Amino acid sequence: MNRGIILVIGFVLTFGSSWVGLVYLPYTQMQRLEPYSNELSNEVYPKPLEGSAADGRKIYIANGCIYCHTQQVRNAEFGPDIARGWGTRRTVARDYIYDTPIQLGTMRTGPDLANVGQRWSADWQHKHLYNPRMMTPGSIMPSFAFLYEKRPVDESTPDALILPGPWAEPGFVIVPKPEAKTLVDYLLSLNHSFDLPEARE
Amino acid sequence: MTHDEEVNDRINVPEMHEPILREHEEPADGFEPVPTWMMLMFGLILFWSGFYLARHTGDWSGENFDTMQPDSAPAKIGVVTPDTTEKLIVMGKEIYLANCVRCHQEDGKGSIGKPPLLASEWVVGPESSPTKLSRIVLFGLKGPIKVGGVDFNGECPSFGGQLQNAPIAAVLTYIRQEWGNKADPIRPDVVSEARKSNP
Amino acid sequence: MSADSFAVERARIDASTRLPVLVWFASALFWLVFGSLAALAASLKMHTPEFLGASQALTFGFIRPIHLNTVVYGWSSMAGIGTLLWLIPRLARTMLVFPKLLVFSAIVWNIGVLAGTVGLFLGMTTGIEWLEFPPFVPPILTFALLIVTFCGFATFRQRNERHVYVTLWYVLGALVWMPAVYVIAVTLCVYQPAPGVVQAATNWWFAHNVLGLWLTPIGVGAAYYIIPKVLGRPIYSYYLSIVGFWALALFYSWAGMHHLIGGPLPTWLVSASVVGSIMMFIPVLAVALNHHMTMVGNFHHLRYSPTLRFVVFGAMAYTVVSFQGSIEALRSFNVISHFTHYTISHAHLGLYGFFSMVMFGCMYYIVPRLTEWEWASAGLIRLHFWCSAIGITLYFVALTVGGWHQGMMAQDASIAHISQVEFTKPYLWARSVGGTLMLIGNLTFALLFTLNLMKLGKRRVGETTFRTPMKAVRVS
Repeated sequence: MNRGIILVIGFVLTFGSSWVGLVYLPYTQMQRLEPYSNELSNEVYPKPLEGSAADGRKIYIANGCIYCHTQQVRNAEFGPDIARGWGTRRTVARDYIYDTPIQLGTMRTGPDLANVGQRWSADWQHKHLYNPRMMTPGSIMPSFAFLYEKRPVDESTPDALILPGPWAEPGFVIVPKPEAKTLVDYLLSLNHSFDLPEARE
Repeated sequence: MTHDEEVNDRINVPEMHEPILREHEEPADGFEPVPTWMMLMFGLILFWSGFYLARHTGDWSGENFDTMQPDSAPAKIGVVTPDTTEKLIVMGKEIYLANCVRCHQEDGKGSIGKPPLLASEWVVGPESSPTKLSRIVLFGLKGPIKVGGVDFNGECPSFGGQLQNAPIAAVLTYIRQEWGNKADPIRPDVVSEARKSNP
Repeated sequence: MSADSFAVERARIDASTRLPVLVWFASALFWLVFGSLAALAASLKMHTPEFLGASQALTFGFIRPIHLNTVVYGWSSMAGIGTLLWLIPRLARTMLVFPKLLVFSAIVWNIGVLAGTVGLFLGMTTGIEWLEFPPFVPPILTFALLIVTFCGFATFRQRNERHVYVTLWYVLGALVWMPAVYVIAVTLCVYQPAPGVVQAATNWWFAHNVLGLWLTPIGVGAAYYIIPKVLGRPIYSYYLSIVGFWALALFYSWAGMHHLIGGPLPTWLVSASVVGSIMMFIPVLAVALNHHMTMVGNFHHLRYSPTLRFVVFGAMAYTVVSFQGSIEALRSFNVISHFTHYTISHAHLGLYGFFSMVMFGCMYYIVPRLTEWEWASAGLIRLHFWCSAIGITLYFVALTVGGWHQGMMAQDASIAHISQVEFTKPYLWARSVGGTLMLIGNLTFALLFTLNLMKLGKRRVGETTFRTPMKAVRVS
């Protein structure tokens, strides 16, 4: 151990083994994953995001939603994700082939979002983003009111939010900025319920 | 001046700073052997690891995704359809607490802007309709409504995407038989019929 | 060589490291203060979401990665580099090569971290955990890191000490591993992203290796130096050192997939990491025994020596957090702890309870030797120690208990998610209290360092210890 070269060879071999095992081999196993085509129903899944939803994903990433929300449904042995209504099946590798950067997440301060597009409407999402505590009392989610504009009533637009009861301010409306609209479009696109063969158990 | 000479110039033995003078020698190695108990323990850990790896690799397949017991029969995902009303209600309560309680509350009385289910004519009584209730849970409900003479204008989200027919039937049965409500249970096939209609 | 000539040699070696090490240390302390403030802001926002909630630049989703990246790449990495740049010449018994180049590398590294932080405030995150700095930052950091690696090895090559002491294995390993891991990770996650879950696997292979192949080797290597050095005794067993080092090198880097248990990864990949994590019992036990047996009969020194107290606290925390981590990787345990505050508690015990405390101890030892000025106040050192120690303990206990219960509640579908959130709130408050204590400790240390660097106060003769057997004589 007094010869530097022995040390360096040791460093390279030990580290190299984990690179092979945890990076290279998974890459070879999963790099050629293609979307699944159902010939009977002519459906292809997954599809890459387009347009507003694709832009909205960037807003999701930029605002750090990943630090409190996951986007992975686990199977019933690991937890009652499915019983909670967070999905009809666990998510698998193919669900994420177009996700760059992938937003699996590691904290569930808030609920999982892999299928949130099926749970809440655009209207609810806007109100919830504007002030989470308005829709879910006790929530600790930060408010994203900076994605919205407060305008006098006479400058209202069709997509203005109608705030529930005690939250509404007479004479003013809340209008989503473009970032809020694309973000909600992205959230509405989140749907991993497609019946993939490898997800069946 | 070279760097070495610069440094040498700065060192003045009599005035050398004190910490260096009071230091011990640089660390050296002792040569006690690795204790036997430790070698045994390491051996055990190695055996355990080999055993674990042999049992939990899912045939090294890229399509066998992480589960708790990949080599035993996997748990059936999805739900087992209950065959008695009691089982339906037990399942329904769990679904209710996981999905509905935040608006309709645990006592079924609702809150500001959220209608009650207790003694609601939508849920029990001659005007209640299993199909209509199924459609509400499947597709959601928005817009002004009246419940027990009180106006509401909120939104019930849709659950048809992530709840299958049996759990929906279960939760509807639960709300129709809880808090003093008394109405017939709802069967999963009623829900599946309602699912085929337009939202 | 006589004792005096050893001392002259050491003085020369220390003098060669003076400028670069102090620059790396001073920078590290700046980022520690900055990162700790961001930490407290993030912690407060979790239970009081309206706190500083109006602007996007300060939203939790911005502040959290700012905190993580500044304490990992700003404080931890820079303190670690400063420490190893002092250790390598000492153990090789040769002067540090190219000190001015190393000062340059510190400036470049600072530019990288600063540019990255500004980028994060402007919303330019990559969205990849532990790699959030915008894409123009990795080349800057890599360039600076390669300079450090080069100088470290160049110094080592000129060694006058034939025997390569165990600390050198660890720090030289770190200098090879970190650039390799970083370059591979940014390539496969940021520049040429691999598809979907492969990216996630690479991401967590990287993030765990920042802990296992960069910070841990520096921390453990430093403890291997400080403990026998301060006590004036040899390290207990060379054979345990060998086992401890090579087992760490082999197993630690396999553990990363335990961050993704239950996720959309192949079972074999997760199992490989579970095994790697459990195998870590071997090196951690070896190191713990080695350190403990060296300390046995000498624990009373902890009453006097700040250096030893911080380092031993850190070394003990290392043992605890590593055992905890191994257990956490078991699937049946992970089912409860995954996605909860339990994970955060574990992370902070490692990064603060172990690594930061060891760094504090090293800096308490090294800095007076470079500035030729003793620490101004034993009282302030005491304040630092107790605030940091109690702070991290409170942090750890609060989030371990809260996180565990959170996980238990998550397993019960009849408990609504929001109830889980409500339940954790008092624990999040307790974490803020612990975090505030840690901040006070950090600020105290930053103050002490500044006082020392600027040679403020009366000149002391004699070491600053907690309880001096003889009172230090003040020489004006």
